[in-house]
Amino acid sequence: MKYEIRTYPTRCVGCLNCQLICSFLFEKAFNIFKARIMIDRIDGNSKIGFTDKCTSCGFCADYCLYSALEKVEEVKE
Amino acid sequence: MKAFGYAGSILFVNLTTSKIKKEPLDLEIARNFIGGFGINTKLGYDLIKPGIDPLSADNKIIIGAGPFVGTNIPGSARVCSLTKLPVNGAIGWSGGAGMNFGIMLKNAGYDHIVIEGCADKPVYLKIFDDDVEICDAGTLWGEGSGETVDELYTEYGRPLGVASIGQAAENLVKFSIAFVEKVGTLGRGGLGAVFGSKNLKAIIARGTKGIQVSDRKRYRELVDQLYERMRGYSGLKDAHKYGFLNFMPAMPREVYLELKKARLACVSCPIADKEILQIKKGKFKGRTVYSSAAVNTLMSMMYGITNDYGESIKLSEELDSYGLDQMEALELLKFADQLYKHGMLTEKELGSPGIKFEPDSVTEWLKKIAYREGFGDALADGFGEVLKKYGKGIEEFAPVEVKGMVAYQGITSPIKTDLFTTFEFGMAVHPKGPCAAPGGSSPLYFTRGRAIDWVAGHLDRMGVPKDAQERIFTLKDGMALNVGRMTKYSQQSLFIVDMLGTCGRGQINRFYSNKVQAELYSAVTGIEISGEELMKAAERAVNLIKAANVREGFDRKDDRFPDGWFGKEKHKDYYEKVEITKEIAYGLLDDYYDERGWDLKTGIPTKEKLIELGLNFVITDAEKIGVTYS
Repeated sequence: MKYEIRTYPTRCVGCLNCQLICSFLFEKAFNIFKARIMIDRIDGNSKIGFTDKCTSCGFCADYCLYSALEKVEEVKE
Repeated sequence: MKAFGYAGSILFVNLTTSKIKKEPLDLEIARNFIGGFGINTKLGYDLIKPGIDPLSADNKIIIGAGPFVGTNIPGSARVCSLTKLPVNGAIGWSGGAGMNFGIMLKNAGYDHIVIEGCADKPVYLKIFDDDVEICDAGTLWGEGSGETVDELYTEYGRPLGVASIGQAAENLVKFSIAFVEKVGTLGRGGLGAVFGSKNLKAIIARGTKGIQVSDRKRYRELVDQLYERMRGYSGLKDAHKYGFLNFMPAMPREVYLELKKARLACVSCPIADKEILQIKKGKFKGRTVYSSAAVNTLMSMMYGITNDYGESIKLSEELDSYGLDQMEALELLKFADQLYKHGMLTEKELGSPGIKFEPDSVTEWLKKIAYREGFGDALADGFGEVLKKYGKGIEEFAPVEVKGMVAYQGITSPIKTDLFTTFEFGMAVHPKGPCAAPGGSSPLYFTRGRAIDWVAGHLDRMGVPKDAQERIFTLKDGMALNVGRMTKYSQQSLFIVDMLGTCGRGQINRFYSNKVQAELYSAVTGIEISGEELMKAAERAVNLIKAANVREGFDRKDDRFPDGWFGKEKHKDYYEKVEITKEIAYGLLDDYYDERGWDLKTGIPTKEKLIELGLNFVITDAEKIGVTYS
């Protein structure tokens, strides 16, 4: 299943839960450097980006407790 | 056997010889002491020789991150430190300070680091996976704790784990602390000064190795349940909006919302209680300040130094930048002023006619302490030393002090509380001395006055055995709840958190029962453990650190309550029916020792307890230095 992942950087607090779950599911180890979503956080401002490997599975949004990521719409393959 | 959850190694760095070595983590030790605070304790007991000068090259800085650190178990980013504390000579640990540092250390391959020796010039330690290097600190020396972080970010980019010190620590102020990425405090009692004594400005870490868990399916089921419960938590939304103020309403919400610039989370944190504030008006308009929590920036207002939020936040930033423990610094200034006012300190000695509790004057005094200038030099040694010199005839204005540090929560303490709970009781019995949660993760202020069933429910969650609950709830001196007995389990419950690497905040650990902790540990590491065994491991670690302090000469005489607590105004018991007299308090101290299986007369573990916990080596070691366990 693929989703559109909407991002709300101002809500992001830098907990990196999205990167953790992504690496755990796809790489079988928690490793923020191997995640397909990347949070760049400087002085309280976050930039949220996705690598080319992102499958839009939406798990990052499922684990975001701050609503900085939302899977809002199913995209038909 | 593969060490799932654990990074698998301990890094040893000698700053005198520049020797760096990596040793495998002994999984037998991991099983007995779990990790974080627990393994730190074993390392500290083995490596810190009794009687050394805390500020000598012989002392060690031990930092550890537990087996949950690096996973997505909510609130699992915590690191713990351990060293011999300059402020009182206790072997003291500190838990806190998560941010990125813990997970970067673990991902670099290390569960613990042990730093000893003294560099011949200021340095910082770089830990990037297997690339471990002692680097010239250059111009970083002399910078504040936060500026140091910024400069290291500029040099190395982010994400980066950084633990750093400010000028107070460089100048060996005995109550200086270290900071993690500006907002995490680490090492009340002088860890900062130990960094300074070793010419160590900072430790930076970045790791790319990843952390694996043993049983991914079991792990995910457990963690998903936690996330589900947290999402359903009615206070989550307000916690995100108001931070720690949601639980401790120390400033009006509208003021906070005006000051709030951004919330910051340690990795995997569900509540993001750290923050960046921006001063919106007054002298410091526009200034942005990092803080461990907005409530902690109000200390200057609490002391009547200012009634302006901007001024208070600015003073808090200065304290943090120097690396000064806020409570110790301000209480020492208050005490010095009283000494002057009572004619026990001359204007010449003090360098001024008293101490004005106004922003400019306090700013000047903080600098004097941080740089050990004038009378600031004497204050920089902390209450232990100050009281040796000026401790006679001070009954009228004696500091609320235990083991050389401010017992900051209590009826006459800077943070005034009225009940005699595990928080207040813990100020006396914590082996290191007063700290943030010396009595552990007690629910007593949360459940205040509610029926015993509420408390019992929490004790069940914490894994307190039923027979112990019976003793806790046996009527004593008219009190329905025995705080002395309860503190044993409350402390151990928090030490489990310190060992695993999860957050100590009540707002997070309320989601973790002892059973869930054990289930998670088993799923993460592949080492099956029960909640009971986890509690036993915490007890083992407590007894070992107590033994390390017994070697340093600590015993029952040091576990005392501030005399001021037994004046006209007294604490009350949980149901506010009994006034806590000195006799009642020390009766509860007997109960605490009894519950712990410690000797009532000496306040130290008995042989029987040490043997029960598999700490037989403590008895043998003690005999060699003339310490006897009965």
